[in-house]
Amino acid sequence: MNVGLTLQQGRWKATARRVAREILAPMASEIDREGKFVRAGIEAIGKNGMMGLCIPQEYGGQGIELLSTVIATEELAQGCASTAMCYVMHTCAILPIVAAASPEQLEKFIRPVAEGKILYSVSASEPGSGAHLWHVDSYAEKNAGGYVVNAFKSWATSAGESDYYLIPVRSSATASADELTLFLVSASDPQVQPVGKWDGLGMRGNSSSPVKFNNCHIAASQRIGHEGIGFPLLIAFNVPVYLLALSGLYLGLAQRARDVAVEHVKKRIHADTKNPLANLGVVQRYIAELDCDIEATRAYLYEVTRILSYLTSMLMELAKADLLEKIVDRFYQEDALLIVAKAKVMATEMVLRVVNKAFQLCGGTGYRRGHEIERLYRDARAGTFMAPDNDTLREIIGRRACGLPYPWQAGSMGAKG
Amino acid sequence: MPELRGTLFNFKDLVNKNSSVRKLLVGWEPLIEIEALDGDERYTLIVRDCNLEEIHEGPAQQAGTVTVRGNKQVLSEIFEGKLNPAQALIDGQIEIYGQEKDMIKLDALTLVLWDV
Ligand SMILES: Cc1cc2nc3c(=O)[nH]c(=O)nc-3n(C[C@H](O)[C@H](O)[C@H](O)COP(=O)(O)OP(=O)(O)OC[C@H]3O[C@@H](n4cnc5c(N)ncnc54)[C@H](O)[C@@H]3O)c2cc1C
Repeated sequence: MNVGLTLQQGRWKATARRVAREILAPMASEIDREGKFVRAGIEAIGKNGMMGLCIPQEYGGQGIELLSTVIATEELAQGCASTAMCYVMHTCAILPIVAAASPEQLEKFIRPVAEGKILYSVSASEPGSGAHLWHVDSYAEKNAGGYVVNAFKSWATSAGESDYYLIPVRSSATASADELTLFLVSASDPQVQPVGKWDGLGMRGNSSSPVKFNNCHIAASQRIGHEGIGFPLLIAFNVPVYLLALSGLYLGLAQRARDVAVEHVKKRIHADTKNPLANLGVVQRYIAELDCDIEATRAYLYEVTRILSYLTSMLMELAKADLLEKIVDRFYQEDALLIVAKAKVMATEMVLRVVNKAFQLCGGTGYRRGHEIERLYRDARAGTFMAPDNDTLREIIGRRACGLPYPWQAGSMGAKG
Repeated sequence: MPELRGTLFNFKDLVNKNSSVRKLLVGWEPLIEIEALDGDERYTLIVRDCNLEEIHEGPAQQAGTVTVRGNKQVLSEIFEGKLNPAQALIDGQIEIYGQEKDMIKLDALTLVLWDV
């Protein structure tokens, strides 16, 4: 009987915690200050066997066991949130590839991941779509050798640093905005050009620049699944993993902010009272609020992740039998996506409350550039507008509660909704 | 309420006629035990060569690969396609024992059967 984590989950938690403390945390401040990419952290994650945690065992991974991934991300984020973000975006590229890849593609694109030899980016957002993942403007044009893609992807975490970009584009110029095909584009292609140096408010080490795919010739062997199956693959295997891992990241960040605040109030002693701040009832109350907020999110996130692990494994069975498209609509109807959407909203809003209160407890000391709480405060900010942004997700949750279809089933929200 | 036995035999016919479902059976040859908790009914389903080949009354002779337990009505609704087995599992309406991969396969199969 497992009351808590399984042995495997516990092992990955301990491994990720060790990597976060011994390798990521000591570098985090410098990475933030200088906007340096988190290369050393990614390598450490790879060396410790965590780059392919959700890969099925037959391809060299640990099995579709999403809770290990979520917990590993939670731990890594406590060392360096930028590294954890690159890990999230890498991880969410894996299962769509596993689900639809040919045996040759699995050997080329998945087995090396389990060995820590490939870093993926997922580049979906475009200037026209913003956080609306179901609307893509760019498209593929077929030619004799494969496809030509011209696309401006407005964000790609690990831009210029990853080995491959997983990009969804419309299947042709005439395909609808959600009739997508997925391609894996090699970063070494000279037609792939990251634009500018990433200089964000937070997450400064994750190189989330735009990427231009400039008349990019893509061989058919780089297409994942058949033409037009991109959206079902994303909805079944990318979006849930991305949202769960992202929630794990912000949960970890919140935990770290709480721990920093607790360490601070235990040490900070005023000359007049001669007592640490921790002795004040109001401070104790703040900390209790942080703990309740964090624990509620953790309980929900872990529960949802366990359910999604099961459902994702089931969808993988169906994908492997070429039945994914037949079943994916039912998957929406059962509203499995909604529980994941709620987890993302909860985690990314909880972290803002937590860092705000933790910042208050650290006082002016924390306001100085270079204090950890100041970095966490900035790193925490992106979650609510990372796609799908929380307002869109709320609208989706509300629509489903009222029996209305998902936006991509009803046409663009607002336009036809 | 339709009787469980009839529902299972109907399920067997549908599985064997459905090419999509049979794709899911490739390389999978489990003994599936179905146990109604509110009565004495127990059945063993035998899958062989991509077919749901036999249904026996009573427990499996060897240890079953997967055991599904629940009330008769819930089990009937699942095998009639009225209830999503994954949802029933999440809601605690059924219990499934066995290797997770076998449980997942059984759920996937039932889901496809009634959707395709
Ligand atoms: C650090 C970081 C890393 C990123 N990494 C990646 C990556 O690796 N890959 C990738 O593809 N993208 C990535 N993104 C992009 C991200 O996922 C979003 O697509 C992007 O932040 C959207 O920005 P926007 O200005 O286009 O927002 P918009 O889409 O213009 O939205 C702005 C705001 O408008 C409101 N809004 C928008 N639509 C609706 C609606 N339908 N209903 C209600 N309110 C709405 C929301 O409040 C929203 O926050 C990253 C972003 C950041 C900040």
